[in-house]
Amino acid sequence: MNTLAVGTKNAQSSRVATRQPKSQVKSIALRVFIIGLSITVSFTVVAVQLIRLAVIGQNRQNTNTSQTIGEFYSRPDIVDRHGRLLATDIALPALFADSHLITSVDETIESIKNIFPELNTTKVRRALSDKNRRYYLLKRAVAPRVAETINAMGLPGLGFRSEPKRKYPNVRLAGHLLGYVDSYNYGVTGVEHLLNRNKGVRRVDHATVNTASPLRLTIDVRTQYALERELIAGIKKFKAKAATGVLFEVQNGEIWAAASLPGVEPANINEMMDRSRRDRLASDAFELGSVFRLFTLAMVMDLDIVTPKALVDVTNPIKIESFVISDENPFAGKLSLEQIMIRSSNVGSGILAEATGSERQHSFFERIGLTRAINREDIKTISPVLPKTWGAAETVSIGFGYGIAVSPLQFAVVFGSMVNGGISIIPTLILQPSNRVFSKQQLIRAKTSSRLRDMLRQNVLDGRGWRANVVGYRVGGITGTADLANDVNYEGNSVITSFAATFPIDKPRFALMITFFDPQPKGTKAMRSAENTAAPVAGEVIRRVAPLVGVEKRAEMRG
Amino acid sequence: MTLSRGDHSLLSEWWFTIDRLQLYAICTLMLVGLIISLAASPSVAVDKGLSTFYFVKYHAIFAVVGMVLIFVISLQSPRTIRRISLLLYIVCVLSLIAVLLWGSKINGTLRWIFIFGVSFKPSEIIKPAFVVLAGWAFAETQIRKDMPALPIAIGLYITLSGLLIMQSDLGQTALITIVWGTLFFLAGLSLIWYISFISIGIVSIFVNFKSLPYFRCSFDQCFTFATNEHSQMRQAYRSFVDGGFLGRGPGAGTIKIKLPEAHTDFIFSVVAEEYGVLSCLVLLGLYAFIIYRALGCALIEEDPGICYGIIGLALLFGYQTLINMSVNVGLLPVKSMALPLLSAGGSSMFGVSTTLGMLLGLSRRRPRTTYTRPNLFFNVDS
Repeated sequence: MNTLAVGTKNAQSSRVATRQPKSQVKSIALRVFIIGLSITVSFTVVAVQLIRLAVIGQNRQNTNTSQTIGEFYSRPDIVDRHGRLLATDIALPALFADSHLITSVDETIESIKNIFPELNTTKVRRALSDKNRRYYLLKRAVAPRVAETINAMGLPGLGFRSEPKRKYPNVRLAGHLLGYVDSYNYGVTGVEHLLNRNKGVRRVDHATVNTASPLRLTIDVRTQYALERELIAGIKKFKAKAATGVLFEVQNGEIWAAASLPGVEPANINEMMDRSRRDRLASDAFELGSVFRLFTLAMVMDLDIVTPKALVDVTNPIKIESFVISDENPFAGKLSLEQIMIRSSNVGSGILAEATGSERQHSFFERIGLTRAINREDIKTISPVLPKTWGAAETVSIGFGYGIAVSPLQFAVVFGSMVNGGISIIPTLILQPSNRVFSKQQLIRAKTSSRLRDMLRQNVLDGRGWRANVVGYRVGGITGTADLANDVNYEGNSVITSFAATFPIDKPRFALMITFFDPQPKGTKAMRSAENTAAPVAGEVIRRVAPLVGVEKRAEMRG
Repeated sequence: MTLSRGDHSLLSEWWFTIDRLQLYAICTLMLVGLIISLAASPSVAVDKGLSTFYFVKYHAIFAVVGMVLIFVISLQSPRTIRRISLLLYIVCVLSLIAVLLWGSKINGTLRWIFIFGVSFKPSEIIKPAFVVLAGWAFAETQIRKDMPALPIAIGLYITLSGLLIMQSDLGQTALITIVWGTLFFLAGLSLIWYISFISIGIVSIFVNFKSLPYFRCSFDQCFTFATNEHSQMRQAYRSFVDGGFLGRGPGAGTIKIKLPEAHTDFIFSVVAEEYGVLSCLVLLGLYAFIIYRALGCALIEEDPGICYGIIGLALLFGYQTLINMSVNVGLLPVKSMALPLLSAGGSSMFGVSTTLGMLLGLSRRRPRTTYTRPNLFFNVDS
């Protein structure tokens, strides 16, 4: 204000300016200077705002480039290990409207409504009445023949654009493994999610042919189909709620078949979200029961807790803390380690675990990989549920498979490393071009592994696994029947039955794990045990897949 | 053709007395306007059902006519320019009254008149005439006490602003008010006058905000543009953000399709989207350069009438530019105000050409009685 006041005075004193040009110019100069300053300030404000907007744009471009280029993802095909198609992109027309060109909104809506009765009329009417909406998506993935019909109606303002759509020619086969994509063809779960990082995935704004080399899985469509068929038949026969199965190579960890039934169709989002169809193989943990005896036996032999020829007195039930543990079919006398396996003696396993002690049991489980989730790029399992305090009672119960919950897949992988000579397995779904190289760790001694194989074979020949025997393929395996726990307690009436098998036993190539959830077959309670549910199905699967995977059939002395 | 200082023809005199740098800047902006028109107007033309290059064609014609107009007017002497202004003022005031009585509506506002089948917007033409006359009247208040110069200046203003408000053309009213107020300040308006003048302005803004539905609507749009996806303000804002510093490249803009006034009021957004904010800053610099040159010319001018005329015309040009740009970058509510030289539209081009022609004509160097040292800040090389 000071400058203003000065300027004013000067101006007033020079009202007779024409006679005194010098002071006239001086007084105007100050005021012109003020005007020039205000103009400069105004232009600077606009310039600063311009730069600010550009900086906002620059930052947004840095963080969000992928969002603005193309709308859809073009994905390479997924094929099985022999190149058979599992998933592919096809181009389907999407119907859109250009409100600006529509002549009669009513006629347009009525005509479309006849073809798509599910259309939300009020919403569409609002969109089409707005002349400024030059692109309104009416329907995605219209069948080509339907698109032809709409085109033939000749309604102005309707158009089609070609969008990529993921299709799965085998419908539900390996649905859980493949996962699914969203409406922009972007992978959400499973192999589809893994594929997002593939170099062949490109952003496009209309459907194009993806020429990238397909992603090759270790799955074999034939073994996958055989496994799923047998599991479905088993579910039907035993009136089970669900079943899982996995078949993999014990030397390199390649998974040939993996299924959780009831299965899902990747293209059907409702099935994907249905909890009863969830993936029980890798994404859910269960107490699997006496299949865990194998780990107890491996532990006592590998840690030299007892000599291989040791005998265990199983006459009396174990009393520990407030629990009493007894066998279903009590045996009076002493059992060898092999007999503990064959007779499925909880007391025997419990005594052996107790003899080992909680600390050594914990570290052994840690070593063989039962305490941490499998977390690979292509295979992930849920974390095992371990006891909160690993005390004496927990040690005994874990000895026969209670108090610890793991996913069937993780159990199968550890089982495989027990029988393959004691070498760690990293499971995989992605087929490597050459032989897969990974760091192999010796988890248990080869000698222990060999003894375990003998026991497993004996268990199939003379023990509870007899119904899994397939003449010529030299199957070894172990059964497990566990009470199914709900959130509060054990339901008492429901069981999980498992059978973990390996073949051929003399030089194992494959491991197979079959699990049934809550089988309710006709007949006595004994009919629902693993011996009568999981084991025979495992036998059927081996009978079907062994010739496919190239296991040599050999004459056997017994069986 | 070569011109020499010894040659005293009309053209030669003009060439050596005109401020050539200003002329170059004006020609550059004219050319830029033509290029941008190629980008901005086809989508609007197609939208209105006209041929693709309808607006480009007319823009080119208007640009040529505008250049001729600038040349012809700048040839005139200050006295002639003042006479032209008086004539234009009277004709345009009559036209404005005619618009009120028989005018036709374009884009919801009553501002146009048809003469021989050509639509014509008198408010664009009257502005430079008004500014020159007001500047002259203010100057007279200092020179001749015997003339009622101040009442004339106030009368000129009230007549024009009254007519413009009756057309609810508040953008133009605000523009001439600012320019007239600045001239008043320049002519030595006392502080009391100046403060009351500003308070009346503020009160009138509030009264208008409350009473006129058109104004309220655009005012609301301004401050809620973030929520309304399809508003013009939102689209303009997106142009700057999407364009970034370097722009998307000529012809690559997509937002211009959604801007209904892309070729006129929002041409600056189109520049931003396709050529980037850096180009916008260069344009801004060109406009500022013209204004500073004009202020510099005014400083060394002896005759207060001419001096005020130059400053008034420069401010008219400058504030119109500023208001348009501020609207584009989201600093002001939507006002229909064309960007001088760049926007399409015949009336606007005629108005701007008249403004610049008068500006160049008044600021021509003339023989002077005494030597005054040019001010350092707005130095004009001689």
